[in-house]
Amino acid sequence: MDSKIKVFVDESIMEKGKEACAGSLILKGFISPFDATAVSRLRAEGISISGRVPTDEFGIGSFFADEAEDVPGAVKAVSEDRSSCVLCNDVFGQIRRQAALNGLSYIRPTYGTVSRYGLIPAVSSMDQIGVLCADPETGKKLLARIAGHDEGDGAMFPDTKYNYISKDSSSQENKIRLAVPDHIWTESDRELLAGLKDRFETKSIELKYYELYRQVLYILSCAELCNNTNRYDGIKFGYRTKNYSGLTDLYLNTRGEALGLDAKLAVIMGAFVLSQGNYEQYYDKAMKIRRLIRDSILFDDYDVIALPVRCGKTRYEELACLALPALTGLPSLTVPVGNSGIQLVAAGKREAILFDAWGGIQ
Amino acid sequence: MVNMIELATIEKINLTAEETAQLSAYAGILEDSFAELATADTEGVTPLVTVLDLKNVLRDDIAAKMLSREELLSNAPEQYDGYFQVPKTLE
Repeated sequence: MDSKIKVFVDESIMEKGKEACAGSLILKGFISPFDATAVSRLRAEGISISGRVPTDEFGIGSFFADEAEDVPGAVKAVSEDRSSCVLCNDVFGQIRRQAALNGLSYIRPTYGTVSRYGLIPAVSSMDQIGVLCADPETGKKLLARIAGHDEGDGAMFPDTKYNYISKDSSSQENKIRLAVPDHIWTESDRELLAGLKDRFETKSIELKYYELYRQVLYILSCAELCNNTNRYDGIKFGYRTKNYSGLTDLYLNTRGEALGLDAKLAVIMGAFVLSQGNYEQYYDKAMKIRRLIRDSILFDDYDVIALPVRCGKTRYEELACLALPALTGLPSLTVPVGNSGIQLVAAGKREAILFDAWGGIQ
Repeated sequence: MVNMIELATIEKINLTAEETAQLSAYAGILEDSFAELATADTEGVTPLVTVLDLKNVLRDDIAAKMLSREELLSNAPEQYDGYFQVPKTLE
């Protein structure tokens, strides 16, 4: 791989000596004391980090921002050819969606294959560094350099290397079996699939519990974000208000002034679903449905699921079609097709078949 | 019902009146949609805390390199004599 490749990282990934604010005023001025593992692995390969791009606050996207203002910094950097690849944390799928709509690709690897050490935590059970790129082949090579077990992250598979090359040739010689959940594709986006029927063996499937995907994603994300952001108190690092008369006042004003509206909503909804009287009804229930969702995706008579990148009329509704990779930890490759895009999702650690499928889409 | 002011106080977040109104409106939409969870039968289902089926991944109990006191304090908004500096906590 060309060591002159221009790799950027988003503001949630730590680089020693650089500010890592995760898109939040609450971490303004926080200077990373060490490199994230993903960064140090690239440096060890002679690949330097050429720049940093802004991200949505804690990578959770915005319900309140204007659509027009909402092309993520990572997407802009690659679209404008300032960067070849950007490492990002894309929990809510906003980067994947915008990547496809802007002619780019996004690889979200299997949860537990790329170290989160040095990634500012947002939704720990779903946080996963991925690669935004113009060309999935370049992204794949970059991913192979950062993936593999790391003692700095306690939730990882033991494999030390991933090469993303198909172990058997069946997926190349035979048609890849593409599962299409027809019920979630809109009429206009379904046209994107028409051209794929010759190249894949397609079958229609139903995604069980799909109508609950967005609720489960949001409830669990809020709960985890609520806990992860409690460390931001204006004492140990980051922003501290100038407007206080005592310790409680300092906490209230620091967090009131420096957390954005979406983060405030998520933290408060997190406190709501975790509170006595609501815990079982919302948080515990969402964790149980998360298991049902994971166990309902079998990959028995299909290899890859094809999902749209657009659904719903509001940002909250749109979480539904973007939620599956984060909820299940399954790998996804999102690619542009026509004026929209397709998210391809495979079984855990089967990224190789996603790249094979991409070859079929090209 | 989401009591925005009470929860914001618990979470130590000062909200303006405008923010309280905006957030309350959205919280109502979210809460209504959360009610749909009740449609799923989860009798006997164990909650899924992590998608990895790994258990107790612990490293060996050997001291590792840690950040120095100076490095830990370097990001503190205020520090004094090697400690984090905070306002008076007892009146």
